Amino acid sequence: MKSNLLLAIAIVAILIVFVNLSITLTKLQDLRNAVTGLAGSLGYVNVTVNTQASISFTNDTLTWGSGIVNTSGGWTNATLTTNLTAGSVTGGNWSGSGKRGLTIENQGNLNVSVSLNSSQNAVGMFGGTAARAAFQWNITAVKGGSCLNGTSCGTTNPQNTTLGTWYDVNTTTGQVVCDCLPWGDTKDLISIDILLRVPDDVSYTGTRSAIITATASAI
Amino acid sequence: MVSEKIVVALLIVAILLSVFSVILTVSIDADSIRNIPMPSVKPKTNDQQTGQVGIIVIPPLSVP
Repeated sequence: MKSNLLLAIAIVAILIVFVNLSITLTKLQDLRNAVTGLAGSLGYVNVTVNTQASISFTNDTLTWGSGIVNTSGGWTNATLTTNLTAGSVTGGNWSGSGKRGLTIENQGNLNVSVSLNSSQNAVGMFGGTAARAAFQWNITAVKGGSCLNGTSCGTTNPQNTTLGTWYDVNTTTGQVVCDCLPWGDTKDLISIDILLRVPDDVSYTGTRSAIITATASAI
Repeated sequence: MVSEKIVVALLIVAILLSVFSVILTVSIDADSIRNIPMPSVKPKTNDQQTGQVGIIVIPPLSVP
């Protein structure tokens, strides 16, 4: 009697194990089809890449050291300019060594227009005789095709700012300096060269600085 | 020799564990796993960054 009972329980246990095994295998097949990238008629992968406008200052600081306008040499102002490789100084004794313009890279996956705004203009930066002072920027394409004509890029309100031209910085509304900065890695970098002209009758001495704000808007 | 009662008890425990395992396995729903909502990231259409320009200006020497 007891051996029959044991036999019956053992058979029940084995049956349940087989049921469990078959269900597990079925479920595993379902999961394989559902959550893997199986390349076949049963597997699929659903990926959505969101669009993103993103820029970054890859060189975000331009710091001229200390210097003075060479008034003893007859200069009425000193002009400090940057380019992609070095700075230059006339009429003053600042050092141009290693002074490069700010650079902006498009790190998103959308073409963007770039506008600039400065916290200070020449008058706020230096004071003195306005005609002898200047604070300007000049945009150049570091990589070929980094700044396209807005008309060719589908910009709704193209400004078509001329590259390589000095413009007074804008402190009120952002000045569109590049209608179309593409996101492709071979054409996503522009340089903002800076011109500072310090008048000999400068009103504000010591450390002077301005914050340059770049705003990128998706096209 | 092992007592028959112990053997029966072990078999019953095995059956209960198997039943529990079946319930857990059946509860797995492949569709619900496939349809787990992905984190929603809104498209970003603008960005703003800042840089800085600085200079130290020494006062010009005044001529008496």
